[in-house]
Amino acid sequence: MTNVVAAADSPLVETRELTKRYGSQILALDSLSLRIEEGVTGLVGANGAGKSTLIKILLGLLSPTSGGATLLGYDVQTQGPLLRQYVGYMPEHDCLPPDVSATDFVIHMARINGLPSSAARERTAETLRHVGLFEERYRPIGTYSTGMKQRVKLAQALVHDPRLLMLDEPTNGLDPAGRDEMLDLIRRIGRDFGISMLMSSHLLGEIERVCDHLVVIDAGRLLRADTIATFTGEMQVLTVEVDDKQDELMARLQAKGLQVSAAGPLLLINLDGAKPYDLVRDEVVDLGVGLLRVEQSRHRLEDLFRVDAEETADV
Amino acid sequence: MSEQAGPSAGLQTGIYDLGYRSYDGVRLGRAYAVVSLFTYSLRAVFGLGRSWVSKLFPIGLAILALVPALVQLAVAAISPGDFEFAKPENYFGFVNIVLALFCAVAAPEVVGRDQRHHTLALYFSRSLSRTDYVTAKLAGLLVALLIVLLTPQILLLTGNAVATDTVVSYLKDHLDQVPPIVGSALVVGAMMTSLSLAIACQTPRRAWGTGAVIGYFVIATALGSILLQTISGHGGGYALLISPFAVLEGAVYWIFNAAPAVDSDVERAAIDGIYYLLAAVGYTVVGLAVLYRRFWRLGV
Repeated sequence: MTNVVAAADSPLVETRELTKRYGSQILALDSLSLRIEEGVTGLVGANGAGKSTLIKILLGLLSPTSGGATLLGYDVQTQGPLLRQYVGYMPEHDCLPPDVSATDFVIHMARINGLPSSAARERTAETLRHVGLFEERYRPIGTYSTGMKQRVKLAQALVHDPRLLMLDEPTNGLDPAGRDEMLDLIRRIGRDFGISMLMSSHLLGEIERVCDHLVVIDAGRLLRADTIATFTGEMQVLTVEVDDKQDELMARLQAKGLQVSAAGPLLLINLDGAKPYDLVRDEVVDLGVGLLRVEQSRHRLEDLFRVDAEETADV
Repeated sequence: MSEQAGPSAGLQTGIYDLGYRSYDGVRLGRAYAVVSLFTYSLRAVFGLGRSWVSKLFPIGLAILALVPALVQLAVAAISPGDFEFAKPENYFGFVNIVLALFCAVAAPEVVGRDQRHHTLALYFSRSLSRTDYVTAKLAGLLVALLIVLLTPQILLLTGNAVATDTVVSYLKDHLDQVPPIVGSALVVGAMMTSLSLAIACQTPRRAWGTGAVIGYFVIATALGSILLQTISGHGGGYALLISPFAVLEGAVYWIFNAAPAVDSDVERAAIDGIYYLLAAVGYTVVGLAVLYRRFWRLGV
């Protein structure tokens, strides 16, 4: 306990040139160096980008081919058993035995995390209540719905009051309502319970709802790491649709210094803090064309990442 | 560490709204985690904390292993001192099949279940190492098997003592039997645990694990017996060491310093008893190596 508190000044997660190779062909992580501070961080990337590999290396489930990583200031390879007392992990896949009750299973996992029996029982009851499991917690897990199983998975990761919670695709397999409930729960754990989290997802909307920071990896490399606020600031876009002379309007707006791109019949103007509404109106009037649509909307985060990925590839 | 978060205003779901309490109590670490996993595994072997179906086979087989002792005690009660067929040194011969069945039921439960339900990732991402995990599992089945092995022996010893007029002096006279009883149970328990776990851990599927364990004990024993009969001279005797039941029977007789049963394979093999013990140790070590290696390499 003391040791881990003493390491509290260190970043939550830090990786140095982390590389993981499966066989000779597959490079899952490619000299990945990143730093994650306290708070709720989203880990985003396409399927196969290396998210799960990164999480598994941080948890000591996999050994890196080269490079290193620290978690809470401790080396994941040499100090794993010590630091993992303070880490909770909710895997992507099914991991629950069907023939025991949620209560029995979570108590057992709490004890494996070092909690004495009485504390394990007490915290299990509290944690299952926090994740929204009540009377059903005495039933065998095999009788649960997918949503309830996800809650048990979350409870077993939370029962020992970890300093860091790692959630690997926590909404996988849930219907939209279940997804919403799970995201609310995760947000509450981060904000109200004050537990730092690293949550992987390939759905950016989810990350945006829950996280303060975002780390984007692609093909095992760091694409970007920033606050959600910075990302969303870049995402504002003005959609303009006119009935004629679209190309001419685009050229005029670009000449005025705006970043404009065409998407079919639409013109997309990156706002980036600017407010070119009057300018657009004036140019449309000047061209004498009909204005069908002016709409402020947002890029999808995917678009930003695609641009980033292309830039990286060019380099 | 997480802060104390009181009930938050504005949350609609009232029953959630109890506030989160951080845990500042003691964390007992890795050794405690191993002990916790051991007790959990031991309970799981007997199906404790599970449905009655899970208890049926292990507890049924454990009771079956008591039958020779109970019959012996019944005989002794009717006609004291006349007929002693179940003795500490030959007890294994009566229950070897029952023990193999017990292992076949229990081993897949101990090492296949977490593979089957993908629970290993939860263990290995905690303070347990893979070696710790296997050690706790091994200890769980070993202790379960020792309970099954030693209970009839204790029953025999105390039952026979009660059947005599002089309980205390009977126990004193037979005190020298305690070390070989415990020693032989350890040898039998260690080898059967090690081999059955090494076999069962190769598959997450319970039925295959159970079938493979039974198959190994039955086929290897039959093979040893056939080789003993077909190979002439000392070669046949040593070939019997392929048979796990013969190895254990021979080792137990050697530990008790007793003569093997008349007309048994072990008697016919006519090799020095120490070879059985060495073979038992060898099998145990090989089983352990296979078992640990499997979990060191297993992807989760």
